[in-house]
Amino acid sequence: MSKYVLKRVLLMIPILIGVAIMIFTLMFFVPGDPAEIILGNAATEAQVIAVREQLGLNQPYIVRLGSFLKELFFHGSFGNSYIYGTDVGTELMSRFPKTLALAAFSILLSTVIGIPLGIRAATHANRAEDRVSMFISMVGVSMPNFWLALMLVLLFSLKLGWLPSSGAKGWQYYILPVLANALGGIAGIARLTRSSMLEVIRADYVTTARAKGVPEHSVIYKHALPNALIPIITICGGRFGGQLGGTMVIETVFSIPGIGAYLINSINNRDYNAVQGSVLYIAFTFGVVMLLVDLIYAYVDPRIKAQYEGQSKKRVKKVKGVGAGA
Amino acid sequence: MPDTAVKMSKGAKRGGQRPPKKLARTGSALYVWQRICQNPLALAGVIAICVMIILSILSPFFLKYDYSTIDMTSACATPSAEHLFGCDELGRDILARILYGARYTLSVGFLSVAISATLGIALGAAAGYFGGIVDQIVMRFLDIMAAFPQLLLAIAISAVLGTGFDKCIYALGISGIPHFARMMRANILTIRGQEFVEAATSINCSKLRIILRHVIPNAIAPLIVEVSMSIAGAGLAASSLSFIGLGVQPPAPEWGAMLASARNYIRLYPHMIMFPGLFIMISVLSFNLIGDAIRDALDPKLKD
Amino acid sequence: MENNMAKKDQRFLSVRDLVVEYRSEGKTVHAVNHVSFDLSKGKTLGLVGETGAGKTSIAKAILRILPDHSTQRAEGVVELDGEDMMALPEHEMQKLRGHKVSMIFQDPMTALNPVKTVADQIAEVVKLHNPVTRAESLERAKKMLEMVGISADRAGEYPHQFSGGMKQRVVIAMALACDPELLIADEPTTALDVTIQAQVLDMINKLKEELNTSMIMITHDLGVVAETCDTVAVTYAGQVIEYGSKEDIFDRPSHPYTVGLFKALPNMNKDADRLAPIDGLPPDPTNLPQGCSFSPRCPYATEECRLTPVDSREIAPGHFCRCIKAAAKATTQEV
Repeated sequence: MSKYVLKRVLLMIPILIGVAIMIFTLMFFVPGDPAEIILGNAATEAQVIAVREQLGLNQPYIVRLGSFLKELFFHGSFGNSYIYGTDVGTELMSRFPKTLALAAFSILLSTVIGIPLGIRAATHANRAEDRVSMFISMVGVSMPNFWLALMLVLLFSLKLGWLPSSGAKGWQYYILPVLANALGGIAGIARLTRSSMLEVIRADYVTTARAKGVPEHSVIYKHALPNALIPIITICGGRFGGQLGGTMVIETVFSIPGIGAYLINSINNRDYNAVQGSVLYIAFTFGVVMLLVDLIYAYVDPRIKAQYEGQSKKRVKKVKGVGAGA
Repeated sequence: MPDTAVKMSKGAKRGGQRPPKKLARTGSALYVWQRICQNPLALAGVIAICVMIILSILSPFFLKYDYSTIDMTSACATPSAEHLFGCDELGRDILARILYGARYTLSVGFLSVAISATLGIALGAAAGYFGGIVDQIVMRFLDIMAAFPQLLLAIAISAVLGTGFDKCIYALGISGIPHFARMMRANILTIRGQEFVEAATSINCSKLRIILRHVIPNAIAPLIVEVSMSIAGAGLAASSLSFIGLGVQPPAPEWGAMLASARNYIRLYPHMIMFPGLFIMISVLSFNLIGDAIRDALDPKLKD
Repeated sequence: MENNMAKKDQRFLSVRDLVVEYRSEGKTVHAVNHVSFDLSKGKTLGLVGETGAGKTSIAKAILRILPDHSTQRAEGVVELDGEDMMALPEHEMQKLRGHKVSMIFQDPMTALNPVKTVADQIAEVVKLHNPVTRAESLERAKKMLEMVGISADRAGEYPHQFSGGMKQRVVIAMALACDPELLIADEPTTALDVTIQAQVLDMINKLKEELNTSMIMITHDLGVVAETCDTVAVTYAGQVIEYGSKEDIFDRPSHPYTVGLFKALPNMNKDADRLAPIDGLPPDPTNLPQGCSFSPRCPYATEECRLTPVDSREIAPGHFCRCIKAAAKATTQEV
């Protein structure tokens, strides 16, 4: 198992480097001269040239890329903000917990509510209850999270006055943002769990369990669910990315000083160093989460676990092919 | 001993008795359409989309108010017989703006998915078919793209391209490529290993013919579901982008952009945020319902 | 037919008027239509018929494990040791399943849970029906594995680490783990290679004799019937169309369908150029013929066969047949 963990971690490194190169390249082609952005409109030609020289902006692409990667991976530095001159890394570090909390609680809520709802729908498949709950969840999937956020603010903050509508000064500030961000996740995970369970419930080994005299409750939770969970875990990991993306938008609605708000603010200010840093930070977080998901996945599915415990190599390939399809 | 079994079923196959023919061949476009028509929710989705498209095109001709006419005397007017959905902060009729604005959300949805599906399928097919070094390069590149949450990638691309209707389409279109490419590649790999491809090879079909006639059609069919679902997702993402100020810009009546400017009036004039959001939801819901029905039609496993 | 089919004391399992209907795309599928048969202690009944004749539905109906989502009707009397299983509450039924009655499934590749070790899957059934600790149940599981010829060392492995034949052995070990009194084997060898088939059949026979288990052997393979069964019920379109001792069926087949089955067999002794298949297909179970269900394919069918339903009649002691022609023939022979 430790071999598998090591292998997955090592595989992460080229991806992270690739992500960094891609973002740097994207930002390299942004129209506009960073020196002019830094100095503002009032700058003289001489000042602009001086700043360019100082930041190494006159260097060719490849040299700048090299120094960027060196700074990033050896010193953990994202550079300075064009506008504020502050260190982007420090800024991101202080904002990160808020974004992470928002995304993590959203995905937690989504799974804790979504999975049982999906199981229930699957065991009552095609009855009225299932149809109604699946329609409601479809509405949930289709609802823009920022609109839901506004509606929640309207009801709970403005009409009822129960919860604050903006800021992040305590736990109660997170209730509405998490709700707004999680609803789509709950609905999506419930739908996915349902279809995954439906497929598994009709599998022969579930009939085998029934034929053994296993009580219905155990048939569902001990025999069917562990198998249905395998695709669900993968999707939940992907969903975490969705929640991170959703967080970007939700933060602006609730004025939560997280990375999303910083990113959008930086885009509007054309503060591309900050943009670059924020995007990288989120992408790295997502990468780490996907790594964790892979590890959980291997833990749950013995077919994957077995490949890394020195079992037949032929099966490895087969399972991998399936994995790519999922 | 096992021969008995074989003979019994062989004997049974003679003669032939046709099953009652009602639906078109499973998997054909006609069959999918018939299944959608049988599903009231999906049918409602199709109708909703069609009605929205028609109204969006015709609304300038039959509505009393233009979507862009500013009338400060009725600024922030609440819904009434005169203005069914009320007016925005500049006194523009919200109904007219929403109907006109449908063209943004719907066309961003269609066009951006057209980009991601076309490029994604081409990339995935190339990777899956050629394998080896091509596959390696394409897949590593896609791995990197897939390391970004999709909305974040769209935001980053928007930051580079700038704002506007066309830029929004490109940003969403590019960010959707990895999904289609990975699915297409996986499908190609599955199909390439199947026996009917070997059968085609064994009767001396040319390689090109096998790809065009056997592999591609079978690999694309499952992606139809993804297209419908992706249009829904792209519509949502487009309105998110516009909401945070990156997609379509005001004064264009894009629904997300309308919500962004209406936000400041939420306390006093909630009607201004109610209707655009409702319409985003209805259009996204419609595409999702259609996608769901297509999935049911193409995947008979989950029937009954 | 019920009156003198078998003496009451011999009956261990008695199935009467079993009906199973499914619902599919708005149509009713008549899978099992008024099936009745008996089975004595320690004996084996062969349930023979083509794919789709309703054999597996009969088995699942006895265990009451028909799929919830599509089953529309499952009725009849299934008496085991004088107790009507169809009338039992679900929790009582759970105690019987896997314990007194157990089943071997057709496809070993899918019958085992992929995320549980084989020992866990066998131990589960032991633990459910016996007052034992987990360690004891695992011990029993290992013993069962050795009994079916799998080394106990492999107990901790997962199904994907076993071959098809090995998996079927695991399934058999699981079915026999609680010394069932009735074993339902649903085509236990169909999914296996020919060489493995004989091994598995031998093993089932041996284990059955050791434990004095009654068995229902479901198969479409007359060779398997010849090797394992005492009595045979030939099923067609959800009905038992001929029922009798193995000798009755093999030496004196009376129903035109049974006769056809034997004609379709290759005979190694005779140098026949071609086999004689039965023309046509089994009827559509959503739309069964009004009269005898075999009449559309029967070379002897008359107007009467097509229009009136045919009852099962005793044509010789213990030999039943659902054919008016065969019954008539039997009567004339007796006279």
